[in-house]
Amino acid sequence: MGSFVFKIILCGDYGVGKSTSIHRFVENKFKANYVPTLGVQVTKKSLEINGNSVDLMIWDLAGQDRYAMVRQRFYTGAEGILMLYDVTRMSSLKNIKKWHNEVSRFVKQIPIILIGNKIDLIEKKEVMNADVKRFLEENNINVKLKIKTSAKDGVNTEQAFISLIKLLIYKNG
Amino acid sequence: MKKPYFFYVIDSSGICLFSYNFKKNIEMFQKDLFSGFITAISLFSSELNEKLGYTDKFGRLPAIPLNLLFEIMISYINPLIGVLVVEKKDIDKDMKAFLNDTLKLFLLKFDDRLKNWNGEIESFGSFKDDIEKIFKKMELFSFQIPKMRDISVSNNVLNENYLAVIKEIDGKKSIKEISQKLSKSLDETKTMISNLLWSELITLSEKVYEDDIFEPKRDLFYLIRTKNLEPEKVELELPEEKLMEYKLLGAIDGFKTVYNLSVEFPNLSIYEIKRFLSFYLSKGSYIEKVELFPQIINIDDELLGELTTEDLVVSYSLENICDGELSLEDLSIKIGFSIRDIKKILDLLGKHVFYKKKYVK
Repeated sequence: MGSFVFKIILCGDYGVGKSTSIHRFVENKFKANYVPTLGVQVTKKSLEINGNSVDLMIWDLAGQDRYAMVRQRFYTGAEGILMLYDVTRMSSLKNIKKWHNEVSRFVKQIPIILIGNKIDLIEKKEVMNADVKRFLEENNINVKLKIKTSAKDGVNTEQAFISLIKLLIYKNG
Repeated sequence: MKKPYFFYVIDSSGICLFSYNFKKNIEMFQKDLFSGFITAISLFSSELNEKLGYTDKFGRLPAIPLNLLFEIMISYINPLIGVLVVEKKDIDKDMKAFLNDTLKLFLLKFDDRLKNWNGEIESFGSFKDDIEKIFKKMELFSFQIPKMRDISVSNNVLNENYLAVIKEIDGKKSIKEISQKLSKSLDETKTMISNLLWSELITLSEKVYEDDIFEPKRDLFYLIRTKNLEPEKVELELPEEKLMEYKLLGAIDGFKTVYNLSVEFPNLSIYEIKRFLSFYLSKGSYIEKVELFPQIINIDDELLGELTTEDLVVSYSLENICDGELSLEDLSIKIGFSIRDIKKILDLLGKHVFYKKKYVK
């Protein structure tokens, strides 16, 4: 049992639901209106997991290209990554390659969890499980866990964060 | 109600009659170019519908998205077009009502002049005072304290809901307390208070009503003196050291920070002033605090480029969440940086930060 402070980063294309997922995890609420994040947004969440006290610093990186340069300054010290795509937008999955390249340039050997968000939009779904599997194989991208979430309905969002924290506790324990 | 950016009144020929900038630190769109654009695009919209045989009500363009963040809201009252540039997140029924009501008032005020208009626009400039007055009335906060004007209200004019609110207005209860007392939602109570203000039946406590957005320096609270000091008596009786304290108390007028006071009293250090004020604050006499809630408008990229990574992270995080509703303590809990770090950044950002003033009982 111990005390941990972890810096984790959420990255992915704009509008995939990074800020909304954080809002769901931290406040257990859903924000319907889309307000793009400027640069970076840090949010702190303190929690206890299996008797360990964890201070989580969640860094929400702006997904727009205009922040590509400044984003490079924010990866230092990150211990885990939640990489998000939108299951209703195939392009956001394809761009995971770009995000993986960006992350790999600045941080090495840290656990990545791949999140397919917006599963509540069933009728608009474009990305199938097979697409994700093929995409990861073709691009030689290793992730610790693949998970589908709905930040809107609160499905699996907390589980994604908790899974990453557990991995980090295990790694640092 | 959140603050819009720019307001324009345009006549049917595309001439901008009046423009007003709510964000003094941001330059407005060039008014002639902008009015021409709005008039042209509204005409295209009307023409298209006319050609397709739709009725006139479909021909009115209600809004134009400017980009992901901003929107141009448009209202029409023949022969004028009212335009408000706002952040999308701030669009609500209050903002729409503000645009419509302001345009109506403009028309009402200048009706005769518009009928015999000779092309001169200078005289419309006097509308600046009206728009500021309207906006202040609409910008209500739950902590504000309404007070009845010294006029009688006939029971026949107002419905029972309003009469119930009026019954609770005693110059002591805040809007929030009134809503709780009546078991009404805060929004509903605010709307009624706003209508009473519009009807000039009530005023709001001066302490929080005057000038609620301004720039402070360093200390994020202002001080208000709540008792008279009996100047003649004290000046005669106090020793020199006490006299300085007395003068300091006398200088507290509700608009100065501790920093402002230290400039006014160069013989006293900020530390001495703070110690002295803390003493009076803890005694609960003479002075009270007004907290300031930061509201970052827009930080230009040039300034951000000069910051260290840590400062940049705090700056961006604050820019994302400072909406004038969160105190320093709330901000610190939310983003996980100390109040000291946050204050440092707010100081650094200087003119980019505006503050809402909230009265702390």
